[in-house]
Amino acid sequence: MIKRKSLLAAALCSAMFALPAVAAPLGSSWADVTKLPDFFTGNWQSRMSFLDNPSTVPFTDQAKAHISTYKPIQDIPFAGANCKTPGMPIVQRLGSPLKFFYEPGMIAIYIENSSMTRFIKLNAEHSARPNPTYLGESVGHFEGDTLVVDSIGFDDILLQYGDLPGKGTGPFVLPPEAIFGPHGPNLRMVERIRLVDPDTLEDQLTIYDDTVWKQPYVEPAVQIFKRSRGDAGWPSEWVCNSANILAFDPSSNKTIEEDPAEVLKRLQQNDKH
Amino acid sequence: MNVRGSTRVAGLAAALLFAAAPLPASAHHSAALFDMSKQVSYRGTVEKWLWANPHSWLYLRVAKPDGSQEVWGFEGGSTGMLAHTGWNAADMKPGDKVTVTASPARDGNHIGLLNEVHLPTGRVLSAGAGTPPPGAGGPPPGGAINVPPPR
Repeated sequence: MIKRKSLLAAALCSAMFALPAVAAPLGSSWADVTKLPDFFTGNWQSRMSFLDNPSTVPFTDQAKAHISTYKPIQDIPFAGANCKTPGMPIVQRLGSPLKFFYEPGMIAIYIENSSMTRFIKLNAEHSARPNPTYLGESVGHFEGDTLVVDSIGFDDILLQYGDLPGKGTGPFVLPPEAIFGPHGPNLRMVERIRLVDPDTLEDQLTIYDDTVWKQPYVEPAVQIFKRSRGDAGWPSEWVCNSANILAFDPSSNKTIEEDPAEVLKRLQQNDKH
Repeated sequence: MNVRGSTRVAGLAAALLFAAAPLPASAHHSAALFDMSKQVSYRGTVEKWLWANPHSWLYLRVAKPDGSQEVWGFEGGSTGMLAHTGWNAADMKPGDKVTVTASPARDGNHIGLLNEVHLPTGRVLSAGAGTPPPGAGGPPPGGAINVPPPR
């Protein structure tokens, strides 16, 4: 009898150990760092225009009404005295590199051009009521070698609807060529980030906003970044308008340029204090 | 104070993109503050090398043919981008004699988009808006065209 019970217990134990273990998703442990694609060495320099070429995604009536009265801007608010961030996605392409970091459950992206950092919570759900931010609340997971990032909860970002008729067709789109406008309450961005080769990273972005577009806005071109290594890939700090040499006049929509002799005089006076 | 429209962020970013990948010169200059189809040389004395964000500025005192002097300002990249490409806040000090190549402002104001600085030591700092990472190749912003003799 005792022998039979022992055999039964041994069989139960064997069955338990035979059950398939549920593997934690990639990005859950420190050990995973060796399995992740290497987004982390050095930094990534955008190779794209920070504004998009024209798209064929149809606008909603609400967006058409906005466009019908839209007045082009001379420059983006980032050029102004307070260097107001354009937010996602433009901030990632303004000209300075991105630096990726990892810890279990999170990938962070330092955006040098503004010293802002995106924090992407891995293998998690969005919070019920995300507060508005310029980078959005981001959750991500890996699908094979691709990091899929879903972002919601945006503040007053600089959202490009498209380009003015006949404009924005060159490889570098200028702010006066583009149309910007407000976003709706359910704005959502989905990025698929992966390595094309060891030194090339792509970020394929789709924007969902049913107040602006009748269909998801798939960016006309995949964003491409190139890796810098060593000293060239070391992150730097960013302090906006650290010398107080620029000003932006929102009433005239102009950037104000002073005579360099006057600016120099002011700077040299400041040096004496 | 001179007020005019500009696309300074776009201009610098365009110059960076230009450095990274050769593009037709006419591709994105129509509304830019600087005429990046031109590069002009200026020889002068450093008044101030301003290491700053969003963009650094080099102020030179330049002698005119009639003997008078004028101050010119040359806009470079952000501190981070310059540092990535080998520039340093201590590269220049007041009194240094340097030669600059830059894309001039379209409206004739005394400013330019910094491309190269030839230092008294013979060292050359290149691509004011930042250079591409190693291996990316490409010409300096605007390409080496239309360079008149030093003033």
